[in-house]
Amino acid sequence: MNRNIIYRRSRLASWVFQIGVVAGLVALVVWSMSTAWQRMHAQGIAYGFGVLDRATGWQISSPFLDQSAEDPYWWTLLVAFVDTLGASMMSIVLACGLGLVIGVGMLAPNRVVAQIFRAYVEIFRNVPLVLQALFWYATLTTLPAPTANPPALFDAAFMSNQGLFLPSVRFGSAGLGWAWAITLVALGACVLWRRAVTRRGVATLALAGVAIALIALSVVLLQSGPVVVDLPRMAGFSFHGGWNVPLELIALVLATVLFSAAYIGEIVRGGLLSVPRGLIEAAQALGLPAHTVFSGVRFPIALRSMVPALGNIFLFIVKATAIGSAIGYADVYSVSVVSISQTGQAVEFLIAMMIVYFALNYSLTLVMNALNRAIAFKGNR
Amino acid sequence: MSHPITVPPVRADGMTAAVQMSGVNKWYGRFHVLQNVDLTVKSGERIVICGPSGSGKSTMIRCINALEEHQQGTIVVNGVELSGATKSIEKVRREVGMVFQSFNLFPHMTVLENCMLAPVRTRRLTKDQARERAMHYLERVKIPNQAGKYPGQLSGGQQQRVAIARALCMSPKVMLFDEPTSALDPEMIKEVLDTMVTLAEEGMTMLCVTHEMSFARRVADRIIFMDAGAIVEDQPPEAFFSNPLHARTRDFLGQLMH
Amino acid sequence: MNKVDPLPLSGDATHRTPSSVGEGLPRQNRALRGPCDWVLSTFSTLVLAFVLWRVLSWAVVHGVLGTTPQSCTDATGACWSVIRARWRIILFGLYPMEEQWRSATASVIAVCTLALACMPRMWSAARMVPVWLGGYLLFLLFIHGGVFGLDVVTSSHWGGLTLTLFIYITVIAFGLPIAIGLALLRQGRYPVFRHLTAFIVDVTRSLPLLTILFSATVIIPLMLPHALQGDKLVRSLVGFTFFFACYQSEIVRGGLQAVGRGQVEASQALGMSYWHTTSLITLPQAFRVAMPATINQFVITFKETSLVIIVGLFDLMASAQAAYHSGQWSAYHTEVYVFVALIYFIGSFSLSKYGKYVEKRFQTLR
Repeated sequence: MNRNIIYRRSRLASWVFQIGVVAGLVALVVWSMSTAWQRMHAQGIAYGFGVLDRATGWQISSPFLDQSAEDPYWWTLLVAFVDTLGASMMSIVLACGLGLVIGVGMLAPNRVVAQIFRAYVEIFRNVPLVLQALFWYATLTTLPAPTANPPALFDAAFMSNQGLFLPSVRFGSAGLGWAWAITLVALGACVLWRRAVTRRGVATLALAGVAIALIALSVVLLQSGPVVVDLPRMAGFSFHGGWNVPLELIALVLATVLFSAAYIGEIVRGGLLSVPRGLIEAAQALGLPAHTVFSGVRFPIALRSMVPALGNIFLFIVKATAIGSAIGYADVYSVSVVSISQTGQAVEFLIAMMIVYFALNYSLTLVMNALNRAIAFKGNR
Repeated sequence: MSHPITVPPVRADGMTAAVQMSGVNKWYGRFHVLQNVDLTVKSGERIVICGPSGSGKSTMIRCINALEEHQQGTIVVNGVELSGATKSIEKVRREVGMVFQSFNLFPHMTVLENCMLAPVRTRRLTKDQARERAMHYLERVKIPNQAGKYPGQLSGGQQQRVAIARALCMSPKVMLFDEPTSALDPEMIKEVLDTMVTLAEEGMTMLCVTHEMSFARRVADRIIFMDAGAIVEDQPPEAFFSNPLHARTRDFLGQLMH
Repeated sequence: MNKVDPLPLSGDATHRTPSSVGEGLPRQNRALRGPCDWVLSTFSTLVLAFVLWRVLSWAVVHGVLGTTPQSCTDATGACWSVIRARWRIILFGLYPMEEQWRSATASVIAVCTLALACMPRMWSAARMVPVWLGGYLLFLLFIHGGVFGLDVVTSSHWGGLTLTLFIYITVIAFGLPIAIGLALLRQGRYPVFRHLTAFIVDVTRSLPLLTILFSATVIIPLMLPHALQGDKLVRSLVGFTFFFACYQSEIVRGGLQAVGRGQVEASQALGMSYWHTTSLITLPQAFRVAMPATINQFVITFKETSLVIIVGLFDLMASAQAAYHSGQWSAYHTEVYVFVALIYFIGSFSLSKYGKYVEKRFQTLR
């Protein structure tokens, strides 16, 4: 901030000016809101967040949770939120993996290999994501129908133009959602266990709580029936059972992963290049073999400089799921848009949508900041 | 403590050649950075290399552990010839320790982990054996209490001593020092030099590029003066300082000690 | 949310330590350049050649360039007939056929304006403003008409590549001044404005572009009087420009922070007013630092223009869809998408290459 000591404005005048401008802005906003109010009244549109309790009357198909036409709007939005989260997480994990390969590949000593990876980055980075998503969706719809002998893996997974059918696990008569919940809780328990190894106390308590919750959950579910592996089987025109990953999700994740991996590859390459030469030479001088030099020294140090930029890409991926609306994936954006067109209550749903994206953004930022702090080089120099 | 630390005694028998460089030439593009370097270092000898900047001194010792490639000539270290084959290079590097001007400690590991990394990964010691060895050498360089700290939390002099301990943990037969005190504040130079003197007095074969002539006087068996990529003068300290054979050496010494 | 790094994301290393960067993996041993390396080179060249051969045989050797859908029914390769038959829609949208030369001219004008704006010798306020103003007005003249005997073509008929270019230059031309204003507010001396601007910019940046576009198209008709509303294109442009301005303001802010306090103090000691200091001292230097990141943002924005298809504007993406969705062309979506991808690729790639050139130029200047 420029503290102008040479300027001698009286502070009172300065504050009056600021408050005045803000008051003017507030007045403008209030006036436009009242205009909106009158218009909405004139058109007979309802208002208020009570709409969230109303049944939607239309259905979305989500690969994660079930939703039907009788469900209220708040449940529908929640399903859409889970869809967004699921697509984001899948894309982030896969893009990181592919991006790592590409980043290391771009630094391959073999010129031909390095150029091939470079070409990948330039091609996939310079074509818009929407175009890639639409292309993949259009291409995937040309896959054979379930009835027409689609490609299969071990007779347990099938890829058709109705989507990918994978085997899944059912806990008695409980739905797929419970399997997901248990998986996530188990993952959370693993994370907590790793922390418990270094710090007793709070983590152990949390771990104990999680373990108890898991056991209780499993007992409840096992009461409702045995645990079965559910394989997709042909019935009528399509497969039944198992877990159906819809074509829209596949196209969205595929496009997002291919696009983001190009950016992540650049970040990985930049991070690896930024490791000071002296550190690598020190590792080599110790007689460490090349793969240990990379995994023990070069990559861990590179990781510290990659994390901030990776955080930006992850935020981009979360926001990019909105493109799902172009191909019919039920993410938060597309569901909000349909809700607005069905109810006419634009303001409420826009606010809800913004809150969701803001919350996702904020939590991801918190996570990346915590990660940054956790892996930072310790030292006060 | 279940196992005694087996550190092979450094034998100053003066008979076997630890390092043998013959006709070594190196170019950076058109720039002839090493010109027909011939150097024999016997086991247990302490060599100090000095010269103006750009004279190729660092390049020469970096060729010994293959951090730089030479285009012509032969380099034989502890009986292994550096031919460019990965196996020979890794073998040589395990027997040769190097201390850098900028310390180059791994910032993401503690001091102890820095010292343990190579013995565990290449000499296949168990973690406990490596830890014992690391603590032994950290005591030798007089900073055992910093074992759990990270490099960023230490002073420059402490970091360089850790670097020396890290190199020693591989029980090298030859130690290379590339201007080890040039990046240190004056008050920390002494502690590092003292460590190097102790090492020298125990009979470690050392090649040291440095400007610290007091160290050279005290410890060196031979002092080598390099200029423009060639070895100009190679004499024991008394002869080197009192009766340099070449004019360039005299000019250099004149600049160093007014 | 304090210091903003003005270094760009698109180029090479994101963080370079000046003097000790290693180029690639440490120097290869001579032995590795022997058999192992040759095998790898040969193998990957073969794989590359195979892929290229398949692509070329699909695209060129077996490609068909007729004029009707029937010419493609027996083809084993690419059906470029769809491009030949539908290129007008792809490039110009629903613009009236006889006037399409105007749309083409307008596109050329837009590209020329962008090219001129990229030349370093144009980088002063006295030159940039007339270039942009002139280019923009000429563009509107050709595409809208109404003067010099040209028929009026309303914005609902604009489409395809021309519309994409229109959106792009509008967003940049109007967004950049707003971005400068937002950055100055956020770095300024009034705490209320600082916090308000920070809040608005940070909230906007945490939302997807689609949300802003859609909100603009839906909220504006509600809140503004009829006269000010504008059609869907105008409303989307308002949202898009605001979104771009928020991102760009952070880049400019990074540049402002990179200009040392000493500069401001020196000019104040000379008795210069705030506006003089800002316009003559701070901003030019800030832009010099922020130029690479700015060009990077331009590249991103060019690709983002494709999103307007989702809010229902008939840009290049939408016209591509329209091109193959009609009747007998529906099987040939790949060819159309490849064609459009090529257009985006050329624009995006040249801009980013230019960005790298600018970055190098500034690294040597410092």
